[in-house]
Amino acid sequence: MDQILLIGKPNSGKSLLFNQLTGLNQKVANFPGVTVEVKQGEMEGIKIIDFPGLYSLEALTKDEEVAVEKLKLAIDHESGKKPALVCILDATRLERSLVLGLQVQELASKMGCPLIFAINMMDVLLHNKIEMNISELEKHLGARVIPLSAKSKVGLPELKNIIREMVAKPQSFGALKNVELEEHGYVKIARKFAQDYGPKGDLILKNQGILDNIFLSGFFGGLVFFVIMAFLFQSIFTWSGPAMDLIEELISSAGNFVGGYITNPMAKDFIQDAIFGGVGSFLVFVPQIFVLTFIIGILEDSGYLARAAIICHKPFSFFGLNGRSFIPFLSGYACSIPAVMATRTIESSKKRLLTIFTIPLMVCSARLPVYALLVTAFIPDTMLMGGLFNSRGMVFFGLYLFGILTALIVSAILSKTSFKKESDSPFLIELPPYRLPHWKPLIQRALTSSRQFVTKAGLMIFSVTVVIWLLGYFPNGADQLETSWLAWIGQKFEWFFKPLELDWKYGVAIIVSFLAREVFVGTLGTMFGIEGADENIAGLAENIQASGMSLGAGISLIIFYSIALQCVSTLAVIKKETGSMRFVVYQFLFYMGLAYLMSFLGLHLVNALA
Amino acid sequence: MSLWKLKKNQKAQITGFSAALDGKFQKRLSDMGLYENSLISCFLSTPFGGPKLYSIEGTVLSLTSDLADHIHIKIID
Repeated sequence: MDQILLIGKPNSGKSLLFNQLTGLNQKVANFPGVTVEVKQGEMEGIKIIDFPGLYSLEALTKDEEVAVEKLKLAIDHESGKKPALVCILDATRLERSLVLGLQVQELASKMGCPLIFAINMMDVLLHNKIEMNISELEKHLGARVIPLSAKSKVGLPELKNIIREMVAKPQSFGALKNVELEEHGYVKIARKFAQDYGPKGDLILKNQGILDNIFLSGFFGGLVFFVIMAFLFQSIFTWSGPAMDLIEELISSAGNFVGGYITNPMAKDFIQDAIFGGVGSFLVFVPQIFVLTFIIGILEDSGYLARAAIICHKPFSFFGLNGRSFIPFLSGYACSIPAVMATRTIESSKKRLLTIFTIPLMVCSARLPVYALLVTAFIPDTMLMGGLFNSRGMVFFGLYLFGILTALIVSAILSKTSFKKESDSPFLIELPPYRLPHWKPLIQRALTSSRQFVTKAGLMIFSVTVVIWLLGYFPNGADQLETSWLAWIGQKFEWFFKPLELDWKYGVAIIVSFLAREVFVGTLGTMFGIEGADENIAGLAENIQASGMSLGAGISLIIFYSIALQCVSTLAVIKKETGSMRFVVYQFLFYMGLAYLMSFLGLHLVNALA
Repeated sequence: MSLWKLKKNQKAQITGFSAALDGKFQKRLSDMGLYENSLISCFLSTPFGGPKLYSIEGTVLSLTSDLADHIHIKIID
């Protein structure tokens, strides 16, 4: 299939253009994070590939390195037709985008790829009644320049025509070698072209200035930041609440419905305990992933995330991190996997590693079911301060705070010890203009990440639940958990959990949840289910209370889960991203030791107080 | 004087870079439009010595003292 590569600077409207060209016919090749994905779509049988935004072909950060590598690989495939390049320029920031544009042109001429320039954001020029000299720019660049606006779709039919032509007659779009370029270098030529043929005057700076004076001013900016963050976390719970209740309801009635048709008691136990009890308990969290990805998407598209990084820079730098760690941390509240991938935008190798090391402490969505269960079981539901706060809500908020505080402390210590010698580099960020988000791609992205959460975690949770059910059910059948194979295995590890006052059942649940934390609830549910108890969380919480577990043991279990790195997929992604098995093993053992120690201390503190 | 000392709404011309600055950062700064003779102005400074915003050729960049200290400038009116 013929290929078109879209290349451009970050915030040049490239993704929107990609969406306009391909419609809904696209797939994301990578886990959605921030700017680390290569998207593929189709336009009339032509494959369109959207590369992550680049400032230069000389990569500085890890994400740029990956993107440049992928780009060169795509251009340099020896057999078959060379892909055609569409380089997107931003009319409002012509000089910046020409720096990359000229480099891409040079690469295209070297590799013999056809190339055109698409100059986006022409609507802004039109709106401000400013003109630019496209024909002269075209002449001096020695390549076709198509003016357009991805937003208002002006110029889009022309671009599509040219793309068709490029595919039909690639030889007439051969990139020329720029003579002036060799003499002066692309940085100076870019400025010359932008000054001679580009629009005159600062186009968007004025609006940006007013908004930045609000969002980045000392007191008010901080206030806005906290309001936005509070809104974000509030909406994860409130917006997804009804959807979660609905899913829970559906799963339990589906379980009962299906169960009603099965006469074989063993098959019925299996379907209800393992399938609907185990797997169902994690599907409930899909709406939260959706809402979080959606809101982070709005913040990113509007340009606010870059401002948030600036606000966080100073406080984070006290702990050996920098402002760029903010976005990965925020994504970490949904799932560590995209968060670890989002660290590619951090220039400094030291800060990137520190961020990767501490991301697993963020309260990810897999911890939610565990916390929900344990908080319900051990924290009495009372209103505090005259009904202003709910005790369980406060404990939840405390757990979120505990996560980020532990992350900062761990980072501060490691930046002066284990990571002292890693190479560091300064903070440098280009501020995108403020823009209104486009809803369609945002919803699409949120759907993709929810789907990936289900497919990635779902299979593992399903397999684990089935194995646990089989081990717990056999050899003696229902209601005989204490004599099952599972009990036998669990008792072998009892010595490890005894100092934390946890019996073998919790031991088994903890061990299997090293695959993924959310398995904890399903496993306990399956075990109590085999014992003949109820599976939903409220019922499970009562079962835990009835099992005679002490408050101290409950608190120590919560502490254990808030620190331990129990997620195989996260470990796999960290191994891939750092390229170091040593890092992963060290990180795993570090949190294991810290979790055990802190739970032990927590247990004895509570026991001493009680 | 160094770019970091430039006050809000002041304009300056870049005169050079200190030798201590790593070549690859100087390269990136130049890709971002910061090279000798470029005009730059301080757009905003955030409280408590946080990152400052500079405007250069229609773009806004945010730098901290660890880079801005290494960029030499002269103030112009």
